[in-house]
Amino acid sequence: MPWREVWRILRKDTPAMISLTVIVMCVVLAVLVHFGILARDVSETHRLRRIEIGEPSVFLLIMQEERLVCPFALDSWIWLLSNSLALESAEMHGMIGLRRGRDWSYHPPTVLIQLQEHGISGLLRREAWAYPLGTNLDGQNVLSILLHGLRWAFIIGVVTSLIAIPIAVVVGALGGYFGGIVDDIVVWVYSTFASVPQLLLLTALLTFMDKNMMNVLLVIGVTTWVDLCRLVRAEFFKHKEREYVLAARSLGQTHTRIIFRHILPNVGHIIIITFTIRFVQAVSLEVFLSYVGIGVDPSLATWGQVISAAKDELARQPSVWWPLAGATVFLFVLSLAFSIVGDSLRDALDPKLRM
Amino acid sequence: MLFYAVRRILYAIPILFGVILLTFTLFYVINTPDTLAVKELQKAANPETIRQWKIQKGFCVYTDEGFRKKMEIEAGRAAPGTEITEEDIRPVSKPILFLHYSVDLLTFNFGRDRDDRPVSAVLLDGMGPSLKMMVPAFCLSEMISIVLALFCALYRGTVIDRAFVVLAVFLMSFNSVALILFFQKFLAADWRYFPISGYESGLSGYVYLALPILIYTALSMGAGIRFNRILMLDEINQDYVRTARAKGLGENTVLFRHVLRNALIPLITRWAVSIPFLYLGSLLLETFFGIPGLGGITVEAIQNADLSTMRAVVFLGALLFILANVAADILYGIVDPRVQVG
Repeated sequence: MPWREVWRILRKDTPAMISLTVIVMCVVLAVLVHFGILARDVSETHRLRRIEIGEPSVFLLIMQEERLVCPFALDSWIWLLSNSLALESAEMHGMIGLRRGRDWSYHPPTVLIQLQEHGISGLLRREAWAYPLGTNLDGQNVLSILLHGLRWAFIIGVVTSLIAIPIAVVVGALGGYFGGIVDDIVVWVYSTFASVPQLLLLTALLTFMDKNMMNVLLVIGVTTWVDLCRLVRAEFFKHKEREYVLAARSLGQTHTRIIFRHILPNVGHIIIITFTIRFVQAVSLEVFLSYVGIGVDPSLATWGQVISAAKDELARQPSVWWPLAGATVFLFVLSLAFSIVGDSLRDALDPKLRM
Repeated sequence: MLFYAVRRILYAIPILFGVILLTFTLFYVINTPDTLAVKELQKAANPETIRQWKIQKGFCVYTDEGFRKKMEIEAGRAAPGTEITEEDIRPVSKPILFLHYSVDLLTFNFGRDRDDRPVSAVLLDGMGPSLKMMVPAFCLSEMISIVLALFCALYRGTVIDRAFVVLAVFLMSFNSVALILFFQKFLAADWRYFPISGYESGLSGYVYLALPILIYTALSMGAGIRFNRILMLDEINQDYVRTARAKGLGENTVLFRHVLRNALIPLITRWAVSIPFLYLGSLLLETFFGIPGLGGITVEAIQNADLSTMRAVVFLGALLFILANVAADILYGIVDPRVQVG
């Protein structure tokens, strides 16, 4: 398939181009995060900053009609202490409440607006804008965590593909190209893998392994190669009868050379289309694994960890919903972009290939 | 036909053997018995309990000397201070372990779980609630997606068709864990349209199951619409449709009498293959909503690293998948005799 032709078709496809731009932007963000240029404050917490000041934590909670709507970690507590009279009266009127301890060291993204409603601004404004998506229960910047999650998502999507795609291509190519007993073995192996429901296979492997990123990547990689293998095998089956393969053969070329130099470039588009589907699948699997509690170490800022932490964050009163909302939006946009690009690529490259 | 069916069933046997081999490798070769024991026993792990665990799960057996000692201790005849030590047990060799493992699985003898209940009884108890939730959920989502897909086929190429395609892609892009969390939070906890979690037997239990069924439908509809739409469109481009139109049948007759009927063949295959997932329930939904079904049991087993339950669930899932596939192939062979030749 001539790639210039594909690019020409894709360029006319507005949704695909927008999605491609989104993906490229995400890659850039992930790279910036990886090299420590963006989101460096991921492990920084409000608590730590307060300790630097050297005083006990004081938190301002803004009350609205008896219900606590906006707990806010006040960095500039000096303002409060110096206005103890104002503080007391505010507390008496039920406008604010004082808490001590780390339980309250977070704030929602809308803090600036709510503060202005209550006529409090100035000193607080600076801090509020430092956390556009708020902070989580530990006082970490949610935007930074999610950007780190973006970096992990790309690592998960790419590394698991680097494990699964070579397995799928080699196994599928062997089966489709050689046929006969080799093919029987290949079909037996992938049918066996396909017979165990994927989530069960995944969890059965991970349950008894240590919690770390390497294991998660490895296990997702070795359990998700079957679909592609099946497609590659079918394509090789078709291609091995074609004239160009016969020509290569009669020229005395080796099987390895025919498989990798002649047939593989002709079925390469399947790999690319599958990659877009796999990517989203692998990232979702990480979320599932983290939620079930056999994923990566909880200290890593993956989206899975953000989402699984949300169960507790939502159950408490008042609930901390913004980390979950942020992770959901990030995941949604990335999945959507990948599936739109995948669909357009499929239409452009091989309309018959539908999954 | 009979020949085809028998061939298809015989073909499943090596796959079943493969599944047993694969799961054996997963549980018994990749991990050493000691790491499995430490994971499952958690805080209770000490040399004594690990030893007992290994014997109970069949990883190790007593040596002759060890067995004599054990009998003496149990009978109270042992000299004071006699203890069973590491030397009194020996590991079972891998081939024999594999043999035991295969026989256990094939006879549905799954042993006892972490709380010493028989695994098969626990799983049987879980089957009811899972099916009670998944059967209506599956039927609902399939019905809606088929109707919408027919709609797309009827108005193919128009705005309506494109709108449903976009809707399907949107629905598919939502992360299921996040969506469940939000639905539970807002529809159940905050706005109180549904109970947050719980389970009751009988019809009144559907009060609790309504929200999970709704979420399942929302989550699976995207893929359903896409799959069914492509199915319908594939059928519409077939020759028999042109023939039907050529003889003057209306578009509705063509769609509902001809296209839908022929599309049933791949649909039945899809439904048959979905059976193992029905049995499993939705792992996540059952945990979130406290439904005591197989999905919940599985997640609990994962979290407790419960070896006996895990291997039973994995094996049963695979077995059902294989059986469902055989059934689907045979069905396919009945409705479409061309398949039998291939």
